[in-house]
Amino acid sequence: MITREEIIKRTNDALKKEFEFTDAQLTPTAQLRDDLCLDSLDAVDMVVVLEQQFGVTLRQGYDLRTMITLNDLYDFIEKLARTHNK
Amino acid sequence: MVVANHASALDLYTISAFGFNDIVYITKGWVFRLPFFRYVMNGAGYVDAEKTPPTEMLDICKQAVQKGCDIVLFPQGSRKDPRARFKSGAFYLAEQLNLPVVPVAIAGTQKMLSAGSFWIKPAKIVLKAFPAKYVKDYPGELGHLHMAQDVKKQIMDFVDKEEVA
Repeated sequence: MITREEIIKRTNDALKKEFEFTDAQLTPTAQLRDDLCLDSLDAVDMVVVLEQQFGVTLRQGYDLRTMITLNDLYDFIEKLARTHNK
Repeated sequence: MVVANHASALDLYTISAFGFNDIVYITKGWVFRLPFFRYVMNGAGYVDAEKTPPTEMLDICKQAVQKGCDIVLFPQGSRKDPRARFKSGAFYLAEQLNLPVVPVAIAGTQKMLSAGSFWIKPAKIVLKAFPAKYVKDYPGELGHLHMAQDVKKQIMDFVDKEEVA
């Protein structure tokens, strides 16, 4: 099963590539909207980027309103990974 | 849909040099709160990017285009970082409305009037409009995002070359 560290690395790699973030910006407590300045369209694009990165469908069960920080995003992907491995 | 890099308040005036027809700017909300400017902008039908919901934005742009207007947007959204990412909103709008995107590079305005400065200094300004292209030429669900990246590179390569020269 994919580890949390790998989830973090692959998520961050995808975000750096598609949204030009630096490692310094991608801290676990970074807020998607206030710190990373992701607008509503960016949020939609981010879901597609991560779906392509992890090869899973994130859209179902993904509630943008609950994704405040990067940690929230990692938690969501980790939970999805655990569900898929059951 | 005209998209340009943004490093100076002077950028808006340089866009006029191209003779684009009946421009509708999509811009941040704070500009609409400036005295005098807000009356001109509201009268000209400019769009507040922060207050306008996405579906309404699409309708406004569709009507503007039907009236023969050119839509102009600075995808970086701010002058704070001239190398900031090009956000994909403009390209998404262009995709939805099947509009060609005209990338415009503006070099030299930051030297003339940088963000936060009030002093205009002499500087050479070079402008270039690149051939128009369509988002549909960038395949996949993220075509608008990838076109934003590609257009940014195209524009910034030109700006870097001109500002070193």
